[in-house]
Amino acid sequence: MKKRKTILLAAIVWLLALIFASPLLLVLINSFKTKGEIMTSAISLPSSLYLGNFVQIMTESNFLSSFFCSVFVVAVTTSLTVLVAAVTGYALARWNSRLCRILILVIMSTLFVPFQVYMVALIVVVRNLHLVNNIIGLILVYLALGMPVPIFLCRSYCVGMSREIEESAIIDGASRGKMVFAIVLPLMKPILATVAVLNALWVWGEFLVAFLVYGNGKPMTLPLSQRYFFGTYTNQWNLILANFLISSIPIILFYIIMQKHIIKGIAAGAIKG
Amino acid sequence: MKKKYLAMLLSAGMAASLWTGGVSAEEGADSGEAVTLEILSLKTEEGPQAAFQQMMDNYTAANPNVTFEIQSMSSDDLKTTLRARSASGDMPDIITWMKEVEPEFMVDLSGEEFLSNLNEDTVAGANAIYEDAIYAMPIDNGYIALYYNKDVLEANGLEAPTTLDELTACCETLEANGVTPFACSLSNLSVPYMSLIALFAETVYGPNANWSAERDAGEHSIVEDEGWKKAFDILTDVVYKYCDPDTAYNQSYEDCAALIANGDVAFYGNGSWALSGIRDVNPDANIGLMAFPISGNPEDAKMLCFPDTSMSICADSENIDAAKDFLAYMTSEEAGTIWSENVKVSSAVNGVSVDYDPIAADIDSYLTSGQFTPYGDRVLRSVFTDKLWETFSYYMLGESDWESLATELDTYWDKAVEEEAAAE
Amino acid sequence: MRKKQNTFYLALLMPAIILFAVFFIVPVVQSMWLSFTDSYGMKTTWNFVGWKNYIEAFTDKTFTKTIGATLKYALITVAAGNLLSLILALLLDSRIRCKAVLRTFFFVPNIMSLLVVGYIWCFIYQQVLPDIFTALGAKGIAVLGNKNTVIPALAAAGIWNAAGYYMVIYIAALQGVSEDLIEAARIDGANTWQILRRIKLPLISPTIVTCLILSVAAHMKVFELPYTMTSGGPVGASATMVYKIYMTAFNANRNGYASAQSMVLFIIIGGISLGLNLLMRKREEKLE
Repeated sequence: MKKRKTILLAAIVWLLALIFASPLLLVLINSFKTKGEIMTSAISLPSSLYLGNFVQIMTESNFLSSFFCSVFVVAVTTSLTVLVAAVTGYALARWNSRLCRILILVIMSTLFVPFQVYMVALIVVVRNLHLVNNIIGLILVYLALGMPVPIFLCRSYCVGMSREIEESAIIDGASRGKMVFAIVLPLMKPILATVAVLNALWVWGEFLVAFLVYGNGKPMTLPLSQRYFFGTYTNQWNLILANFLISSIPIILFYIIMQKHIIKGIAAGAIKG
Repeated sequence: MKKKYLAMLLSAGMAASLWTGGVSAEEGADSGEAVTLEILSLKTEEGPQAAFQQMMDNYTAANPNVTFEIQSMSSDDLKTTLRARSASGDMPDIITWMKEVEPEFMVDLSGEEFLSNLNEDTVAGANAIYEDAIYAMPIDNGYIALYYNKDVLEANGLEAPTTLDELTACCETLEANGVTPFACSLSNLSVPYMSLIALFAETVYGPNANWSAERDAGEHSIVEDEGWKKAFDILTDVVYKYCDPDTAYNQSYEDCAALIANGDVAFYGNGSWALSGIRDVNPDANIGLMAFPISGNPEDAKMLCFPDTSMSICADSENIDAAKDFLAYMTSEEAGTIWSENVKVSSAVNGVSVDYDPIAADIDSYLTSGQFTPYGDRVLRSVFTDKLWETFSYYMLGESDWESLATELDTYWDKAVEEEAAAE
Repeated sequence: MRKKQNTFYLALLMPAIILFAVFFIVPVVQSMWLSFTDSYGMKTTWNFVGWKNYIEAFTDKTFTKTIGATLKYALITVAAGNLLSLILALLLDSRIRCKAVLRTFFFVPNIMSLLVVGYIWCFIYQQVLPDIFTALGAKGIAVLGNKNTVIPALAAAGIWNAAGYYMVIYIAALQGVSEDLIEAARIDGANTWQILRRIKLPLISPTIVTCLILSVAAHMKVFELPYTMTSGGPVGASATMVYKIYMTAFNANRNGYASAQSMVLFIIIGGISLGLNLLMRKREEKLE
């Protein structure tokens, strides 16, 4: 009886998993077809392993430059976010002042005022700073928009950390700066890893901010290049889907390697954030 | 990446030389200093892209110091892009003209000698919305009209309709024979929108070329105007009614071109830019072109013909002289021929007469008989056309009645007038 | 000493303060201010117009309609999405094999860019679905072209993208439910359904509210899906608020009016979040 129930349960779960995977399976099979084959049927298996789409993408699209552009933006944004969130979270946890209370209030309110609400004015600000279509501008905006939850996570982590080590370091004559960077930050490693992974995932796939702040910058980030590609090859689903396939591989690999941190981070972010 | 750095170094160098008051950028263009001209174009079809490439290659061959960087995008995207870049002071050197670009961001080309290589009326028409200034240099003459596939009509024992009743009768016969009469895209609304532009050009501006001025003076309103109502009605009762709505939602602009080219439909309303796409699919398609029949009188059908693709130089370009020189090249017979052949349109350059397509004869017959109107959406204010574009499908798809749609359009017409007055 | 310490903390906070000031406080304030102006397109001058933009927002059918469309989309994605996520979490929390593999299946759609999700589903609705209908011998409908089906169609894509995310949160909450409690209930003769209703669900109810708040906020902001799949059509049936704000500001060039629309969006999102928060407080008081 119990065994039968478990099998039934497993069957349901696997069926759901198949349904969830089917859009990606469709991408997979159709990226090995020619345009004509997709037109005839989008649900049949490819008649042969046609690789022309991938060849054309590699030669015609700017996939590689966009890939490296995205890697660059993610690397810089995430490192800066981790750094800023760590020191800000630490200071907020240790310094009891009016300024901190105000800052906490501001950060709280960012959670209730989504970027989309003030995006028009934000672009005006970015323009006035002459940072439109500028990769530094994009990174700064990502940094600002991505900070709130990491700061909260770091702050609550620091609140739970004992002060003894810090105090003894000060007594030993270490400067405050050295104490934070050499002792406190390494202690925060677990939460920083979580923050970094989540931030990287968000920046990697983000489209609207990039489109508005950096829409015509070159080289494009991956989501921008995917949109550009879609606009250029309208209707050539064989190429478009093949492009999605190869640009999804890195992020899926990233997930598989980092899944522990991702899962942990989402749960922590939801409960504390 | 390397190129980009080089370009950055070069422009930095140029900026520095400007700063120190040494060589001015103007001299730089002539004295062989390397210049890269950036062009943003709204021509996404293959034909015009190839034409631009050929012209740029030829120009670079003659002027090795000038190279180009061109990017093509849809007009919606170009609008957004130019807006962002003008605000950040980062405009390209040359753009395909759009009415949404404020004049202060473009160079007034009045008095430039090369303009005399172009048809005078075309230049004047392209700049009709400006007072005593030339911001747009037209290079071709476009139209928005009704393409029809002669073979399909013949196979169904039909002749090209000349009146509205004949057109609907044609469609009925085709439907009875299992042929979809009209190609239309509902996922890309620019397709039916083009038909609407041609229709109101014929029903509103055909009988009364001064309609806009009279509307500004308060003599008319859209809601009470029979011409506007008729344009929307023909769009709804003919173009939309006789397309296949279920597939139209899955069809793109490119699909529509393929449908008419392959003879899957008989009629397709769109502009001159659609022709190169049709020819790409089927170079030998037996296609004709006519003005939309709008009444029982064949002479009411006036084809919407207007200066189409135009070039503008951006005011804050650092290479204005080089850009002007390239525009001058674009007015040469060589360039005019390249454009006309690839894009399949009639050139605005004097002395260029390319037999670009069999349908040219159809257009000429309208032009020589004077049965055309030059007033489409191009002469309307963008605050109004933005609203028109946003809401026109509401009536077509039965979501809104004429009263409320037309009243809203009237409101935005007045708003556009008001905002224009406030700006001055 | 004390002063030195304060300067040090201030130095640590400085980057965050500057970033928040420039990229949050200034634009939010400017947004409110812009909403009372006629700031237009590339023009560099503007005038104050009072409440005109707000009056237009509430009389402009193309805008008021987006509020309904957005709420409808959010309602479907939040209700059906959270239910699905919870079911997936319960299934994965049971004694089943290959948990990590299964979790990957459900989570991978979430790491894909929403833009790509939109394009993929566009392909499904425009190319795959007609083929499936043909294979079944039925006459299909264009789901993205019908104003009644277009929002559910977008919502399906939204749920596919988000389900894995909330599932992970629910799994974490379920793992926090003490095994002893469940064991004890089982010994007392409770069946699986009773354990679920009487023990698991009440214990994770704070998480459910959190997920509701998070997903309302996330789904009310949907932009990429209508942008890639429908351009807001047909007849504006799938134009969501953020899509409309984008079009007003960056396509029709009306910064001032778009800012007024943004303020309306803010009030709606803020109102719903506040309401759900109050609900949670009340529940907690009740439990205590």
